[in-house]
Amino acid sequence: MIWTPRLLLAAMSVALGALSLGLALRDAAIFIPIFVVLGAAWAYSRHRGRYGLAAALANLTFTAVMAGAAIGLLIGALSALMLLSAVGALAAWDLAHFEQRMRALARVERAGDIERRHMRWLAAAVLGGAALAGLALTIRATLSFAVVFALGLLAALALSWTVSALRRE
Amino acid sequence: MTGRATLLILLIAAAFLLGLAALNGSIIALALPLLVYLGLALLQRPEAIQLTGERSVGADRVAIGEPATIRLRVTNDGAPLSEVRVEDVVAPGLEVASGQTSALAPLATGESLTLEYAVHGPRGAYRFKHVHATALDGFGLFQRQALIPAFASLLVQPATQRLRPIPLRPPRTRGFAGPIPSRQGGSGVDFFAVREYQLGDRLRAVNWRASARHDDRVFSNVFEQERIADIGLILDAREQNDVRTAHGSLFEHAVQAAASLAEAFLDAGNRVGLLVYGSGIEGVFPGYGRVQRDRLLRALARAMVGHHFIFEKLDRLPTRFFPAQSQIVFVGALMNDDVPVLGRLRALGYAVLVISPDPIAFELQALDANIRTQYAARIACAERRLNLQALRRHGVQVVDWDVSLPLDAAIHTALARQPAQRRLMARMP
Repeated sequence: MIWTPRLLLAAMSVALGALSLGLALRDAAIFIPIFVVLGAAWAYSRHRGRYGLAAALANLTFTAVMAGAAIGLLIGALSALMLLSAVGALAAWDLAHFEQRMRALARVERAGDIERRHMRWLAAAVLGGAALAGLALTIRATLSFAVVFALGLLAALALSWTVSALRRE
Repeated sequence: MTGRATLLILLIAAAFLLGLAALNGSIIALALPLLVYLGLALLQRPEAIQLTGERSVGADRVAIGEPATIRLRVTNDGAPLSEVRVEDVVAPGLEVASGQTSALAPLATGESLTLEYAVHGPRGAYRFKHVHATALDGFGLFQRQALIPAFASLLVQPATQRLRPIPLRPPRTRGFAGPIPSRQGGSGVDFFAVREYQLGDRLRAVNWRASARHDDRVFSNVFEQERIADIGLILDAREQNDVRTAHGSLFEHAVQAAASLAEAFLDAGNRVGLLVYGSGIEGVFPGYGRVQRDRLLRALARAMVGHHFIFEKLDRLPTRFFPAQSQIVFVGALMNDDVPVLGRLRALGYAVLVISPDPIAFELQALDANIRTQYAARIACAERRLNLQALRRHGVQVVDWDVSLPLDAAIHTALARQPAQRRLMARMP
């Protein structure tokens, strides 16, 4: 594994950097230490070779960054920066778990092939997702309460259906 | 679905609902990269696992401490799998000495993954059953698990010591030539009797000294025939007779002794059977040769101490398991209640040899040498000596075996014919 650790570090830096910058620009720097502590703990656990703990911290950091991005958007932070932090957190979260999976077993056959294939799919997800989200940010539409309620209901139903279908499998 | 997929779905739902609640489309847009990621993971979701496992064991039986090589080959007979984690389930009790029991690999259709590792472990019969396979999508969000059957067995045999021929004299022997004196005249090595010369006697068998005392009669020496015999081994596996200390279990020594005796008796050509008397009765019917040796070692490898109220005492011993007037060799630490039962076996016409690993000496090795321990050991030793003397009075041959000494030396010291002077002194009041 050559690319995974480098890209993981880069993705985590982008996620935390973009979020901190966005929040700092909206005078909400009070949240920044939380992300810095989480990022430092994650980096330290990786440095100590405790990849299981690092993956668990990546879960926490990912959730925290998504929450931070949502808060940032609520207080009017720059959308592009918040989106960048969400995409970076997603990539870092994925790579942390991929690294843990690869290092959990002493023997990995054709590790280079697995890594290349993973990177291709991740790039597709990140670039596709960012492009779609960027496009969505440019759309402005006014929705009535009924439409919002219907969409919310639909989302809840879709979520419960997806979860139950996947669990049945 | 893994915990990561659940987390992702929850975050998507939270962003969507928060966005709707706050009427903020940008927050909903945050969920889109996550949604694309989830969609791509769903696209890569693994198909049903169709793997076949094939396992081979280097040697199906090994000695204690000797490593056995396990080779496992897993082949994908179904759709290509981007990531498969194959984890072999090592039989409980065995330890992996070298090699890997698990691997991660992409497996195309028809492609195979081979795992090779060495295990070692304590005495026992082990069965390998399944291989655990987990197929993951590229992102590790969705997985399918399967247990792939790959059966094999491994026997870790008890260690054996090479024993010199053991002097036994059962009342009845079998028809074939062997090492055991049969109490019948004929061709042999040891002098048996003198009788009047018969036609066909070899000239070198003529006893000239006896013939010289008579004018018209000639006498021949008769030698004792040597035959094989039926030997029944009884291994005492009752839990209350076992002693476990930091140095191990006394029962393990008894198993080793039984295995060594079985090998020695079979090597001499005898017919040997085995009865393991513990939580139940496991028997190997008497037989000869290498196949019987395998059966006996397999039974001894599986033997475990156990407790059952019915078999607390030896009086449930199925005496008909062994041929009448055959040799019985009892291996186990003795209890007070065992003495009459073994005496009864002797009365029934069996020749009985008791090989008793000394539980007191064994336990004493692990205890602090203080005055109370010494007194307790002296009392226990006196009681044990009385039991052994009672057995000897019944006509039972007894080997009191301190397990820190070699079994061969203990047997030959105990069964050696005493010098005439000492025998005479022993008879004196």
